[in-house]
Amino acid sequence: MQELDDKIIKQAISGDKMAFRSIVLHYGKVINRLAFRFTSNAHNAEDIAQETFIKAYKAIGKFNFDAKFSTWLYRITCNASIDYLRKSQRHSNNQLLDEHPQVAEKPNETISFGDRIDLGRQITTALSELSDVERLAFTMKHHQGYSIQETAQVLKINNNACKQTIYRAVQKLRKLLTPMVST
Amino acid sequence: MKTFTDYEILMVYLKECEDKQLENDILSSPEACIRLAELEIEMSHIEDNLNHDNLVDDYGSQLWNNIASKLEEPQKSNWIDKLGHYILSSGFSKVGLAAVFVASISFYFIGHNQAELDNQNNNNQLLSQSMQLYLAQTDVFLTQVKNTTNQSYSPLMLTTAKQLLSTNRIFKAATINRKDKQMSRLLTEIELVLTEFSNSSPEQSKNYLYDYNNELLFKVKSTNKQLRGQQFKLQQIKKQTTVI
Repeated sequence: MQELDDKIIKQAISGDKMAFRSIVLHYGKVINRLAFRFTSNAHNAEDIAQETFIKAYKAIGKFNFDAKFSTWLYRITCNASIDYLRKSQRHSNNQLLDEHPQVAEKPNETISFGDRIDLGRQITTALSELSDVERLAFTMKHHQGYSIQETAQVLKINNNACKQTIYRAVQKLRKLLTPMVST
Repeated sequence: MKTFTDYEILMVYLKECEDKQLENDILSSPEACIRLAELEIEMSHIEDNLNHDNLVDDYGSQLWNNIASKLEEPQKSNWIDKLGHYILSSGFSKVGLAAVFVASISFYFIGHNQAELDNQNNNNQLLSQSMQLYLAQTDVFLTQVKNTTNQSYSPLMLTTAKQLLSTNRIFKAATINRKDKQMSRLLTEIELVLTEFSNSSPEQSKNYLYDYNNELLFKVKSTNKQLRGQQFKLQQIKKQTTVI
């Protein structure tokens, strides 16, 4: 996506609230979409998008143009998603980012993988079948382009466990999606 | 023929295969390449179709409305910022210049009595803020000089030049005292232009000012920007220290 003008970011860094508004208008959708990939849940994605921008507003003074602004924002989104999922797990008395799929978040269970729904919807459903950590690891590595090491660090697991997690995620997705994408 | 596991193929696809020999073997095996291609197709299907496009067109606006009230108010501007704003918005008012004058005298003495103060950093910061105000005022003045096409300068401009000159000398003394050579050099250049302006008619000083004004304007603007940057960094450090 097109980066926002550095001038606006500098204005936001200097405390200009309207410049920060421009940042929200520019990156709002893309952050929501990324959060959705991390959580497979529209409501959670909305909460995470809000949390991301609130965190970004507080921390924008630390942004020093070493990386692209979007990269910096994606990193915040990733951390906000992990925090959010951990909190959700805690509330439901489960282990943090456990390996079990969140059955409660499965969208529209009554709709089977058939012709009635489009491929995008089916992929979304397939992603929601993954555990939180599988979905996070897969999205970080495959969609965001993080290295295994970076992904492992963010998820606080070792490199081999991270590779295995991504492998499991890919196997599950392929199992669910191969009949559809091969037709 | 050697067979490869799905895991090994995935690692090659993700460019995370640590065993280079294994990677070469996979890439040179027709069977493994077909499996790699299938994986790539499936992954690209996932990538291309996983969109969450239920968002309304003005989603960013809605998001802003939801979070605007939750954002902490930016730090309220301190009295120096307010003074700066007042000086700049009131043009070349005598009150504004008097304020700069008073501030510069205060900070000059602060600069002289550093040993008596507990926190040297705070003094530097205050002097830097005061200097910013002066440079901003000079910037506005030089811009006005640059755009003046009259045969004679207005009395207000001449008064302003003289007052800026007085303030300049005080700052210059302060910077020499602080051994800030770069700033001292800039103030000397400003002094030359202000002296020329104060003592000559537009016709006499036109060529001189034309030659120097643009370059000086640039120097004034860039130095002021630099000071602001330093100021901002200091504020950030201060904030972080306060948090810790």
